[in-house]
Amino acid sequence: MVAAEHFSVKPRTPRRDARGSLYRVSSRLAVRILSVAVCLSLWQLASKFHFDFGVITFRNIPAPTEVAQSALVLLQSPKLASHLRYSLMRIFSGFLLAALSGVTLGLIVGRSRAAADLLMPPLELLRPIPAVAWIPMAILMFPSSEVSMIFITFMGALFPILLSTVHGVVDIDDRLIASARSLGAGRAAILREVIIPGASPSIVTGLTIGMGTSWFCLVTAEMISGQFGIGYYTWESYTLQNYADIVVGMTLIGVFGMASSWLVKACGTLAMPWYGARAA
Amino acid sequence: MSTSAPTPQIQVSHWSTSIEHLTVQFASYVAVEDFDLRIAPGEFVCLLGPSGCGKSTVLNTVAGFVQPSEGRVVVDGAPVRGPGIDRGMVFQQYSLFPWKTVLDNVAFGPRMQGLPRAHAYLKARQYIDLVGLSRFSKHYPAMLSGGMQQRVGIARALVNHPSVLLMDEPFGALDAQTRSSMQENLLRIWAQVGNTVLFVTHDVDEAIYLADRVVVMSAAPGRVLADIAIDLPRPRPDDVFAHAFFAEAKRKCLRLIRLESRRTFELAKGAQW
Repeated sequence: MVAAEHFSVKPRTPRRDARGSLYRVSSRLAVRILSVAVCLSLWQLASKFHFDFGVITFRNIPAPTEVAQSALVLLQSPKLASHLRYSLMRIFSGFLLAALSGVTLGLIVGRSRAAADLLMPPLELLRPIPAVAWIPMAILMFPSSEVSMIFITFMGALFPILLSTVHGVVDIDDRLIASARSLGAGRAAILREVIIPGASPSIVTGLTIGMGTSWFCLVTAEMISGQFGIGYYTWESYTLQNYADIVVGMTLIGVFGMASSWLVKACGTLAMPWYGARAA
Repeated sequence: MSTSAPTPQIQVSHWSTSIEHLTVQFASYVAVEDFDLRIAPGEFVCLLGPSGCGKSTVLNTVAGFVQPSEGRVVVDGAPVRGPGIDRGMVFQQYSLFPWKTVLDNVAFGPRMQGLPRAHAYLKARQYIDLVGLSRFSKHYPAMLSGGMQQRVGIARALVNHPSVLLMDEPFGALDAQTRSSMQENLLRIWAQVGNTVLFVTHDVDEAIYLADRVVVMSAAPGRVLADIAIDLPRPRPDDVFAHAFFAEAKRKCLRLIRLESRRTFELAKGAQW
């Protein structure tokens, strides 16, 4: 029964991918990690050997190793935590205000031509002014420096949220609203059951973008006129010549900015279970 | 009670739908002019015409989305003033609420009428069963095929027992095979429920297959060109397309449509060149 043939175990030759490439998933990951490692090494070299190219110089730039050491120390200090707390509170307040007012205004403007004619012209005139250009004005308008910071954060987030909401409302197919009316829905029901869910993908996008711009504006404001906060901390590190701390501050800004945007998007996606569902 | 729920029956009203000397004008463009049509309760009427002839405008006027410039529409003895649950609408696309499940979509009408949730869901389930989608109540519309979505749209309109079901080329976006099975489905449902239907299409075969009467419309401004009674057996046999009457009716409709297309072409030619 046993065939006399011996099974010769052939060595496994790597099979060619149908697209003719031997570039596999594992190699891709290795390349990516290697790329980051190379960049970090170049930075280390540039700092340690104080590269100076005239137009750009690394003489005072801290090396990654110094930054890592600084980070370990700082992350345990209560001072840094307190700065972060200030920034987070400002972001939270400003963004929340912008979300509430932006979405409400956006829904009204999207649904009513009269409201659009009344409310949009002054807003459109203000829109080209970047939020950070408001900083001196904010200092004049708001006696409390904390409130002026929150105002900057608010201005940063307002327009992305407002405009995305308006677009979201306007883009809802007329046949959906017509169907709702045909099924006996009144104005309030249409707003609740059709407009808000229909505009929500756009609104979530606006909120995510708004969170990002909010961080950017806050950090800038803190650097210019703040007393506390992670932006202020980063700037202060420069003036106190703790250069490694600058990079720690930058990294934290990046991490918290990304994390908060991601959080907004994640919450938004959870609230829209139908979005992304496709035919089997 | 759960395995064989009684088939829903719409109380056929004694009144009809009447479109009386309807003229609809948008700015300076006359879409529909002196359009007159009376529909008896329980009738299946197809509005047939070339694209742009105003048949959707007529439908939208009956639905209440468009105001007549002259004339009026009377449904169940009451003049139409705006959209309402007595006139159910099924569009070709973008009818269903993508953020609601099939069950929530179909239960929307009953809930808007103030029915408590449980009662609304019960009614919705009856009609979801009627269109054969019981297994999909918890699905979102994007998870369903085009044909299934249209069936949900039909259930969503019928659950409210409308006086007239308005359908605007509902099968136009479907492939030929799905379209033909949907036509059979629709007739089967209609036979059970017995409601009045006003169905807009540009497909002659579809119109003759489905309808008790085919009303051929002229190109813009739209008006009634012919009102052809369809004398074919119900339920439609499989070989209905081979019936002599079918061919004759189709010939009549095609001739009318061809004449209309030529007329509008001549008019356009005169205007443009």
